Amino acid sequence: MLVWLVSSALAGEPEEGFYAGSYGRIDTSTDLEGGGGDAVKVATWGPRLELDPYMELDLGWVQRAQDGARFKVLITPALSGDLFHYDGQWSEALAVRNLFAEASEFTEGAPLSAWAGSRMVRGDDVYLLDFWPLDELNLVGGGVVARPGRSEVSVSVGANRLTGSTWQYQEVVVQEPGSVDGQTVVALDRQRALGTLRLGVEIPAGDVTIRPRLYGEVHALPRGERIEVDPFTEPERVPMASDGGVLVGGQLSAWGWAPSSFVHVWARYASGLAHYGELTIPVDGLDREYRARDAWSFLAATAGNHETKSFSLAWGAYLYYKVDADGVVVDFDDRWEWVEVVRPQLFATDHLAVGLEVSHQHVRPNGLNPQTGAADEPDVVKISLLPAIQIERGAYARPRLHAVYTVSVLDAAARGFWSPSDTRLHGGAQQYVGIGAEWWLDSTRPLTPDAAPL
Amino acid sequence: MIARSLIVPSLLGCVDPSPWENPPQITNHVDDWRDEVIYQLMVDRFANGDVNNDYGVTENVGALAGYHGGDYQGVIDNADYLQALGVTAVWVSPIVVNVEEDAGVGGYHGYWTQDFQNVNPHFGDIVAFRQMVEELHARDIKVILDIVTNHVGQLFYYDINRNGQPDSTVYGAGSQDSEGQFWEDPIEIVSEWDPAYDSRGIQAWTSLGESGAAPLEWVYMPEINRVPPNPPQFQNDDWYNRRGRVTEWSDLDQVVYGDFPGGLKDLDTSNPEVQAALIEVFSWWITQTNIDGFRIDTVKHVEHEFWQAFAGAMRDHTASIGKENFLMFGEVFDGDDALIGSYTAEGELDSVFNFAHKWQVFDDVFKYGGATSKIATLYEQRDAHYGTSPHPGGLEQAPRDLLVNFLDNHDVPRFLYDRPEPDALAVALVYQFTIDGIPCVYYGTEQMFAGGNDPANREPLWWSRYETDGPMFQHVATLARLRRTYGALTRGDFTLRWTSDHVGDEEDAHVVAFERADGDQVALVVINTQGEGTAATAYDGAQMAVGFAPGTELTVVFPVDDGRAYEVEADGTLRVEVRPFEALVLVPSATVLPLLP
Repeated sequence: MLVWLVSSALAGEPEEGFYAGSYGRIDTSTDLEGGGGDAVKVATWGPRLELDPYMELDLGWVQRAQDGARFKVLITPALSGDLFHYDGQWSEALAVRNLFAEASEFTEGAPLSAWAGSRMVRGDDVYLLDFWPLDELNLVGGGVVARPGRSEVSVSVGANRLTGSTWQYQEVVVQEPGSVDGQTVVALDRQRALGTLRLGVEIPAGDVTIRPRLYGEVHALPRGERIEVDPFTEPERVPMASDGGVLVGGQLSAWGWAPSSFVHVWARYASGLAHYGELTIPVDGLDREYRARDAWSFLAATAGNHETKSFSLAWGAYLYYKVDADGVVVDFDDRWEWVEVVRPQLFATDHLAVGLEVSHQHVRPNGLNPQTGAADEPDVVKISLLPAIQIERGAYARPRLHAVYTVSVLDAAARGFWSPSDTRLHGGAQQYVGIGAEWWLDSTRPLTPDAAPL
Repeated sequence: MIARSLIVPSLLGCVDPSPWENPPQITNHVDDWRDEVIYQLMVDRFANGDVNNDYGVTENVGALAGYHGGDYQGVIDNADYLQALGVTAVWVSPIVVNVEEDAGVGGYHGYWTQDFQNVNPHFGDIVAFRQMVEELHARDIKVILDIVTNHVGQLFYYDINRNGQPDSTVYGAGSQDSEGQFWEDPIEIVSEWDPAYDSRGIQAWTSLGESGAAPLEWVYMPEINRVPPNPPQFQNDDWYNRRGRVTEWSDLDQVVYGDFPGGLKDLDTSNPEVQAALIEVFSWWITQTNIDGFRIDTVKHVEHEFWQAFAGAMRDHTASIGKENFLMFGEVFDGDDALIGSYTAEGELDSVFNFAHKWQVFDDVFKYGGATSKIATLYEQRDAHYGTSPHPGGLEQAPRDLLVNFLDNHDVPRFLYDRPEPDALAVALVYQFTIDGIPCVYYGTEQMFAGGNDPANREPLWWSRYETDGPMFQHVATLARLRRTYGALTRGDFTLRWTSDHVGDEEDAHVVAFERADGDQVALVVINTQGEGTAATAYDGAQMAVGFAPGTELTVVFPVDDGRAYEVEADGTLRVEVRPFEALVLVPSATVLPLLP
């Protein structure tokens, strides 16, 4: 993603001037019993079809200097959550996903780009499961990309300081000197330093392009000290241990044998904070010093698509093993997961398509389900029928309007993952019927690797 | 299926949890409970081995009425500490899910049952508990689980004014008669959570008068786990006595049928259905966890008929699963020795806490300097008050020989709170470890904790940093080794040899001496319970008569390496001097043994 963004203008980016783009999805559904359709997921990542509404709006400006140096500014506000017209609450959540400036073509003969600001630094995803198995990092910082020939070397560094708990940042009220009033001061401020390195090269092989990539990520959190605040006792300083983590992995991709057809294979190992992700405050499965450093995970995944004029077959799958840092061996929180999804589609006309999505989720915890006391291994199988109207033929052709009927079959172990008091899950099969839409309009999100090669 | 069973588990050290689904294999670890040294620990306060179950743990470390984070993993992690101390059995506070909090106080202690058949998630899960049992058994440390049959937590209220919500209502104007002699209209506060005892059952009433039995209303407050009990059959209104809180402790009806203060709702344990349900859930815990005994809470608040049914059923159950020597000892929080002992009558409990000894000996004699003759009085009553023969189908020992001796526990101030002199505690511990019965050490005693009444006496043990080289830790450890080395101190018959009415500067003031004899092994214990002066087993020309043959040489084996020796005189008497707060254990020189590790 980083390379694509900095290396050249995407399809919607002008040589100079203002441009706009958007990614969005929205679905609404009924369970045919008077309620809304609900996502049924026992694994970490489940089918994309059941995601909440989300929208990004890309607003960009490109300027060129007289010597040809190119500067771009991109702002991407995003909305998520239930919509006002659905819940009546004027409360959609807003975030800024990109806010950065980028310079390229500023050194003659050196294929360098640089950026600074806040941005999503992402690679390829498992579209059908909406997750990035290897390189997905959101940070405030900067980066440099060198793109000699068909290879790439990109480095990003940055930091975050998550709020919402006293894990990285804390403000407390203290007595104001010379006053009987209180004033707010910062008691804890420790940043998580983030760094990434990605190496890649595209190797042409006839019509096919093969691209191996290596990726690494480092997270480092310094030690700190927070204050336990209780109005009825003296504030106490509590030391917080330093923490960290790494993520290393590789990806092999190939594309080019047919339009919008590709295959990705990933493998990665993550430890400590990197296992949890940069935007997560790890609160469970920590060691006695409240550190995540002994947590680790292994992930292997694949995604791809093959299509012809009238048919496409998209897939995604992953195998995931994660162990938290608490040292407990027989631990319900430590687990295997494997998930597979396939989506064949037929394109009846240039604008009418029908798809069938079949997915399977399996979870194998290392401990007993505390609710059932059993070594439950839940299985969920979902089948969705997806008639669609889309702008053109293709699995990734967008905008697209779709209807969906999904039936989810849960075994008893899967039902044991829900509280018995949860009335939404009253049987072994759940269903919903819905309609929705998804679009990419000159968005900074590329659909397939052949849409934005190096 | 093949991938699941063969390939996947072999990758990456995958753990198969399915063996933990099933109850553990029942194993036996007890030969004779008199050999054991029990260590009472509150799980929440012993050690925090897993910070991830610290739900709602108080940030105020001094707020001892809230959860503090201890768990079963903490016990596992500190099994070395227990072993170093020399204890051979651990009494763990209740395992079951509790009401989370009430009036700002947490259910960390475990006595507010909401769910009889699930593990309090603050402490881990069933696997963690089983692992703890397994780890302790591997070290030959037995596990005794604390259980409550008398009551559940504050799970319902009495809707006295029938307004559909729990109220604390103030009635009365506080007016007196014209002469100020008596209250015409006294002020009365009625809490619908915990109203005062009414032998008819709690009545609904308003200022206009009564209107029949007050409805019992279950509460649904899942955010503090104040929800109806589990298993669901406990949600039957008729399973509760519904008479309100005990206010008159000398009234046996109130004690048995009243709610325990704090709104802990009294189960109608005379109801055969209730009995059957309690028998079922607690039999289940034995099977599920391979524990070695029960410590039973609030015994005197339950009918004798229940204990006969319950204890008998537990003996049948343990026999059916192959669990041998399962111990049931109860808490009869009372000073009446006859009442305490009554729960060890035929068919009832194996043992009880020796509360009479706690009040009359450890407190009156050791803490406050009373005459040691009180000890003789208690022993004289022993056979009259306690079961003198083994229970049919139960342990081989009679209850009178299995009393659990304790200096303090979680319900009373620690010894050092009332008597802040380590030497006084040390000498009391020698007495506790050498008299007949089973010594029970409250956690933190070895670290010289000195908290007062609940909850001050429930300090987190990690405040001590688990030091094992402190003098009291070493003292307890040595006493445990002494018991292991000399069987007379565990299984030997008890014979008092000297007590005294004197508490002044008389020659034998504050002295107690006794023998323990197990066949050829005999030990003599002589203790000066106070620190006022050297005393001896003699007074006014008379010396202590002992059971050893004249001319027998006795060597002091405690204190270790003391080196003193005494010879029994020709008339079979012996004068032993003990310095202030000194306790001596002597054995015939020919039977001195190297102290076992």
